[in-house]
Amino acid sequence: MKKKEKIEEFLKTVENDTGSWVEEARYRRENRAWLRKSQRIAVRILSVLNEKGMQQKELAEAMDVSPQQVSKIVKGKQNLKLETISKLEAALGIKLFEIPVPNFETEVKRKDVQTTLSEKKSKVVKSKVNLNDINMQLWKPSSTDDLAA
Amino acid sequence: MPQGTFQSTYKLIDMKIVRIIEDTDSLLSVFNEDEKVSELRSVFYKWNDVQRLYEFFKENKKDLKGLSIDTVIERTIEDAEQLEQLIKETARSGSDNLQTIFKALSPSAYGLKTYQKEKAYGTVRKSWLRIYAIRIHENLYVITGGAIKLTRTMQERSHTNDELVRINAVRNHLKSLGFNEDDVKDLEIEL
Repeated sequence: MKKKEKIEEFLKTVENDTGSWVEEARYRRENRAWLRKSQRIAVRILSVLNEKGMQQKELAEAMDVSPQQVSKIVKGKQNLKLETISKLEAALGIKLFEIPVPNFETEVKRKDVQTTLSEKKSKVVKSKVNLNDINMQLWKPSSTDDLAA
Repeated sequence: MPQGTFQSTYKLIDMKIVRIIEDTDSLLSVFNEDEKVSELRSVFYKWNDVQRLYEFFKENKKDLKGLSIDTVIERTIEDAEQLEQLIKETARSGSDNLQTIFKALSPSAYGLKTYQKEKAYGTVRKSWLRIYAIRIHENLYVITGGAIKLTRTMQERSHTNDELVRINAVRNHLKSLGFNEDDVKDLEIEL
């Protein structure tokens, strides 16, 4: 049998498993941004568990979730809820997410500075207005002709 | 020798080869009967499974040359994404292009001595991810599996040695279908 015929015969025996890998690859690509975050969280959890010598089962108990849920989380494929992230942080005693929190003290000081500047600015504007008033008072039309001009 | 998490449980009997991209006969894959998925799908699924990667790198820590597990996992996932896109796009762009991404499995991969000089890659780090395949024809490739290759030869670690065993099993299967030794060639893809 020639090679071409052998290949044709061989291809007849090949079954279809099309779509599954292509679909998964597309899913990974399209959801790349949050999947990366989920994967990094999973790595952090596993590192902390390893450092503390803690089992996933213990983590599940501390979080009051099933061991299956923890098992899914550490695969790094879960789109985690903020509630779950907060539970993980509390159970492990670590921060997994850091969002800049407005500082009240700094905010108040900044507001004071802005108010002072604003007051100064308004005084300057007020002064200008007063000068205009003076100008208006100095210039008085003596007749209706002046106004027409 | 550390036991790799990617250890093969491959069976020669009932070997099935499947079409993985619609209307494309140029890139096929061996079907993993235990996991009920193609080997290609299985490999990329595992390379995106953080727990599996963590356990694997922990077991093979001495091969990481001082790099932390966190770093190598991050790199593996990044490389896997690039490799997956490369295979997908190349297979879709036409069968002729597949030969540009496959290269012959080097003799050193088998542990054979070679007089070929080692290539210098400068400071650019080579990826440790490998996809293995057998070429039956210039435009027909069968993916046999994939591995995280951290050593120079495949025999040095059980998980890469398993891939060699699998390549041989697929080659024997193809021979049983009438292909001879000259028809088939062992190949690999790396970034």
